[in-house]
Amino acid sequence: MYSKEIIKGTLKPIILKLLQENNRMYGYEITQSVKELTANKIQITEGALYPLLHKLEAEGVVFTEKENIGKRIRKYYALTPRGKEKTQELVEEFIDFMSTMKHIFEPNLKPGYGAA
Amino acid sequence: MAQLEQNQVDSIYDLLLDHGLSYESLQLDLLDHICCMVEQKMDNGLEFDESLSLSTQEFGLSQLSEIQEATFHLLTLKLNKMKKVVGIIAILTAACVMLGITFKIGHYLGAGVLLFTGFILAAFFVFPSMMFFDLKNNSTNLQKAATVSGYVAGILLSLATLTKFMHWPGFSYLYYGGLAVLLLLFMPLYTFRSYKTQENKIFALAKSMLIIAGVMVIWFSYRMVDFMIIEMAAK
Repeated sequence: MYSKEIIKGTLKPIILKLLQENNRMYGYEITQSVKELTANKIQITEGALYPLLHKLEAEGVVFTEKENIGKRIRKYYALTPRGKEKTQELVEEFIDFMSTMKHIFEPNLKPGYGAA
Repeated sequence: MAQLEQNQVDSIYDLLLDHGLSYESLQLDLLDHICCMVEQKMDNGLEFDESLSLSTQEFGLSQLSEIQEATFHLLTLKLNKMKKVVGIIAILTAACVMLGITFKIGHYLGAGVLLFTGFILAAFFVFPSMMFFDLKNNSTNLQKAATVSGYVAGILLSLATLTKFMHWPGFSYLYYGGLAVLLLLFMPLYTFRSYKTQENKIFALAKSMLIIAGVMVIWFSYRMVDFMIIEMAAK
């Protein structure tokens, strides 16, 4: 498990990336899929997930579809056309950010660093 | 795969309500979430009761109200920033009107500009924006009607006062229109609403009576000014 401090800014990119890959997902499915993909190293809490999903919905980044599942209603979240554009930008920025972080945290990988 | 029965889903829903989760959209999310947790445990061979108790422990039902608060906080963050800006402009507007009236009484230069700015801002920006924020908090149509009529009366009366100060035509239409909306629409709606919602009925009625008395004082002072002008003209 990573510390909260490190995970903090990554929640939104993670959720949006998952929605980009999976078309539509429900809340529990998102938490489980993050758990699986990260081998339990990242666990998204409900307290962080649902407020963010609602905010993304209010901003028009995602929309919801309700479906009857057994005796209850399930809300699926999916990207809106605007959300798809935003996600693409955010994913590209995040990948760029990770490679920049590598320069700082793994300086040996950068030519000209760590030779001495 | 296990699938919960109606009474089992209902018992989880009751738990959500007991822990203060009132926001409907969030109720759907979290009901499904906890149902999924329970069903997964039932798939592993546990009975419903045991699965539910394990799931609620894992989830921590006490965090339900925190999730709700965090959601409201995120949803209103932008609105609160806008409210701050409107608040600052409203303070400046009030200051403009207060200074304008002081200048007018003292016959200083700039009274007209200050009053003009103040009343225009009040009628076309401050009151409409405040109405927008209040409507967001109103849930029933009765509340909405009271809010709209109150602000419309405020807008008409500000414009009426502006025409009076600027010696423009149309004062009486705006003034009596404003008073009519205030006394015939806003006050009955406001009184009815507060009478229905407030526990202390006498206090609710008293508040409405005081507002009407206040409006009458303002109306009387306008008349006083008219009488004074007529008297001065006669002399």
